[in-house]
Amino acid sequence: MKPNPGGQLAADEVLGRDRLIARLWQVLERQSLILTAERRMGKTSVIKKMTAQPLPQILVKFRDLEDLRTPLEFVEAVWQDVQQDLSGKERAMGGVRALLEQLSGAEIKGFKLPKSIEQHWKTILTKTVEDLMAQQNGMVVFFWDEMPMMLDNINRDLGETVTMEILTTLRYLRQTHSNLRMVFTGSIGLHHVVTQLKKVGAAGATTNDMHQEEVTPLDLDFAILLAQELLTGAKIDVKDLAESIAESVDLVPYYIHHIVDELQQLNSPVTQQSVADIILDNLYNPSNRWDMAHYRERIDTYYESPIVPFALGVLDELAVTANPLPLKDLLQLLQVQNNLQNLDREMLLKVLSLLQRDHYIGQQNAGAYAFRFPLIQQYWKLSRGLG
Amino acid sequence: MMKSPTIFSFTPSLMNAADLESIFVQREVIAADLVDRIRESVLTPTKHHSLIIGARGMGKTHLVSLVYHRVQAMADLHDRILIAWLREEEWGITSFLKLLLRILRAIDPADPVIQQRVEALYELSSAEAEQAAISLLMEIIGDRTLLLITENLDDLFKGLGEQGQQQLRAFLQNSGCCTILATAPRLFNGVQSRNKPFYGFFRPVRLQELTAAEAVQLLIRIASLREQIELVSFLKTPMGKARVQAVEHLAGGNPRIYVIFAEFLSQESLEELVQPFMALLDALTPYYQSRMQYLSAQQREIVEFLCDRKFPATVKDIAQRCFITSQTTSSQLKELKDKGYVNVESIGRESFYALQEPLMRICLGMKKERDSTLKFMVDFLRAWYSKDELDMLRQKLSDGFMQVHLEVALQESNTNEQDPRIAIYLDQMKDFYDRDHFEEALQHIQKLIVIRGSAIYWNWQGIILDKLGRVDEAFIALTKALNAEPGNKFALQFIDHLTKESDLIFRIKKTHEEFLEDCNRTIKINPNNFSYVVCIAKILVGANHWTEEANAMKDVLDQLQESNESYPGGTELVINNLLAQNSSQWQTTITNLISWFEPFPSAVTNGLVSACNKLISPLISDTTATLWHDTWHELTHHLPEYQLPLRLLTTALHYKQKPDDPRVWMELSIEERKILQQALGLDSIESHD
Repeated sequence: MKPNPGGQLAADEVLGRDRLIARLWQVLERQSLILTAERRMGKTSVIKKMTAQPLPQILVKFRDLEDLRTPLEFVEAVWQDVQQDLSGKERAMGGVRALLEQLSGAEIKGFKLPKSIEQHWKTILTKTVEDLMAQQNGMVVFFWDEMPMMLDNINRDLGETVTMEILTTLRYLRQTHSNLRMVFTGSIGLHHVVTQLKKVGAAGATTNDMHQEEVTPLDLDFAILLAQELLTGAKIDVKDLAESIAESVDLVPYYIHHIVDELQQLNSPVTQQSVADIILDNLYNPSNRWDMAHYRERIDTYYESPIVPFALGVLDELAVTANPLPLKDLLQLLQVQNNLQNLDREMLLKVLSLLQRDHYIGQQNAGAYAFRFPLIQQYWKLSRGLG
Repeated sequence: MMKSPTIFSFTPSLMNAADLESIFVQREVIAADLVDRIRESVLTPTKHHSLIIGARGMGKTHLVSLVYHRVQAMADLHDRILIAWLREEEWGITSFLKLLLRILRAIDPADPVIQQRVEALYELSSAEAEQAAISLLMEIIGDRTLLLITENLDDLFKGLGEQGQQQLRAFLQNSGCCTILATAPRLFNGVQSRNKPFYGFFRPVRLQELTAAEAVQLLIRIASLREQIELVSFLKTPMGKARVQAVEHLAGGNPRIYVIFAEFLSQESLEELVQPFMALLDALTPYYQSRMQYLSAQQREIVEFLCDRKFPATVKDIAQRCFITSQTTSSQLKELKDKGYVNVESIGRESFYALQEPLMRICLGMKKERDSTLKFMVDFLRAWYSKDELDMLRQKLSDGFMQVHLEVALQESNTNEQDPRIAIYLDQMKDFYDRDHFEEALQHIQKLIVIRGSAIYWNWQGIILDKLGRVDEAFIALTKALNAEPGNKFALQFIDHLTKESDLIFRIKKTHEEFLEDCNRTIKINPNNFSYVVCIAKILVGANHWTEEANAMKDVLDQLQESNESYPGGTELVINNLLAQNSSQWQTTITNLISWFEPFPSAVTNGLVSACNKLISPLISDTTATLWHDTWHELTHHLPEYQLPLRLLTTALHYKQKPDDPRVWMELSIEERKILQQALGLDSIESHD
């Protein structure tokens, strides 16, 4: 198996995800889900594997939505995706096509929907799903990758009301069709889009019927197995190197691929030190591939201005602590040592919740807080001059 | 007869597969891996996306072209692959639709059906055309895999904009049938920033600059392809290697520049060299000027400042000289670095910036010069010729255009230029050395050698490598010191120290051959310098492998004889060392020495007298001393010039046997006594009378 950071993996090459996938299928038996994770954690690989190897009697549809910028384009994509699963009669003259011709007043050729029927997108989507569900006996699962990106595009181009309408319509469809499931994944958190929408009301309710699941790093054994497979593929044979790679990149598969790839391109003999050198270079070199500065910049981009100093304060404190900090201790440190007098317990809880959802931090035993990934903690500590 | 040129230094994609293969160096592992990945992408659901990173002229197009031809030649892939190789400069791609059209055009430009269907797309609205183009492309691909080859991915992404990039990524994810081989001069925001659609999508493959040895390999292959037999031979000579080093200095390891310079590497006379060089600069200048067009006014100002500056500069220096804040300077330099115009070197807390390609400085400088002494010509001459060569050329030219430039070049060579990095590196190196951190000290001295390959830095490298137990490499470093400064005393002494280890020469035989070449070259330039000869002889004797390299030694001596130069002395080391060796070697070695040094007999006789000091040492037994004496007598008693040294040797032996017997000295005349006593390091002859 060759290291392939960023490329498309064959389903069999997606290692260590079988348990997660089994759990996700269990969830899908009862409800739709939102799959979250940091970028490059392997969300797309997981859903592509599920699409390539679906359970019996389940119809699966995969679609990356990031290129879509209007509700009509979204509907068009869904319509195209389900064409082959509609009966011949439906395709030729049945529900959706008849509806489209009725709405547009002309024959629809191909699969491009005319702009003139844009205002009817909800009706078309509803009819399309109805037609599909009528044809299927089993469950239908739409895997929609980069859903938040599409919503964000629409939000910016057409406004929050339209975005809300999409989310509301999708919720309506989920509630109407008991065998219909949706899986939303994306590289930006849906909560960032929803936060904007909250101002126009009830955004949270549009997805609260969906189960939220995080794609976490691999288990240690699988991370080592992956590293070993890649090292073998790269013809690198150094004792205990697989363990060292797996642990040093927090068991994240993309980084394991990346490290082995860099090792393969080295001009000098590979040693344990080579791994440490590559990681250091990627953490601290300003022109590195991992773009660690993003973790700092993202706070300014997505967090409201009054919250920014609190978020930075929390991360600064957690970066230098050897042990996870309980809420009480963290609050005291921030108020006293960071001079954040206007930070109260409620505000801190809100900030912690945001940082958790953005995968900066996690809660460990007894609820104490710590950085989610040691790699990011290491970067934060040094880039912020904290020792 | 010379073949018509088939090497396109700016557009290698026009070359045929065989020619591309024949001049391919350094990157075979990368090429094989890329072909493997494409093959896997075609035959399995796995899809690789590779991004070749290298500055302009680094050989990206050559590599891509070669990979294309290799994949094309794989018969078992024919029915399973489609290749769309976009042109290197696809300027007009400003949307995803236009990209789709270019791909469709590139798949099979000769297929009238495809081209007709593509033409039909222009009848539609852009939204409809986009949809139809995707459908057409998917239909053509069918169950095959599309290999998309695209150069300058950064420009392509810029044209596509964020929306186009999102569309492309979605297409790739949804279709799952494409594998991409792309190139870019650097990693850029579109693939590096977590906020961008293609973050982490490509696997970067970084092209390394050519080392001097690889450059020689490349140039030899080019010359072979053109059937330039003489150039092939020239490149293997020390002079040829020196010329390549000069190009390395000018081109910074850029293969394209090596290819361009291949034309006149072997030109010996200044006239033959300067005119083509001027013409080359003239031809290259628009290329560098066009690169300036890509920059903002502030960035151009910084580049201009670095063009005028001989050494790398700090942010503070640049900011001060350009009247901009340090913060702005830093951000502009970061962009310039990302764009491949400057490189940065961090030393301690300081970062030094310099132009990525020195040739850019020369070309842009040419446009700015208005006075009679062109700076760029001086720069070129300094890079092309050694200080000794410049001196020699100046003596040959009495006046004229070139003479002025040679004068200035020579003056600049003699000036003790203070590159600001040197002091910092030197301090840090010494600090590491004092704390016994030899690995770190070695890294620093290597940086200094890159900045300026003076003998002192090579000597330091020799010392540090010796401390690290890397004796072979230490020897190489010291020979480089001798190369930089023929006769450098420290290097000679340290070699003396190192070569006590008897098998060193055998282990470093190859280097030793280079060492002999250095020696030849040095003597040719400066016949008065005989230190190399002595040093070689000493090493050979010290290593006890006299006969293996004897012919090389003899060649050097013959050369010296032909030049009618006198021998300046120094064989003492050779003979001293011989005395310390196994006596079974003496007969042969002394016979050779006498024979080779026949034109310079004093070289041996002086050495013999000098060795008397060692002879009287308590470390040499009386038996050995007697054998030494008898061997020399046996081999030289018939030669008139050896009579005096033999008498001195006899007295030295007697003195060793009876040091307190004043009668020993009566064997010699007063003058002879003085000579011997001086050789033995005794105070005065009177005390022994």
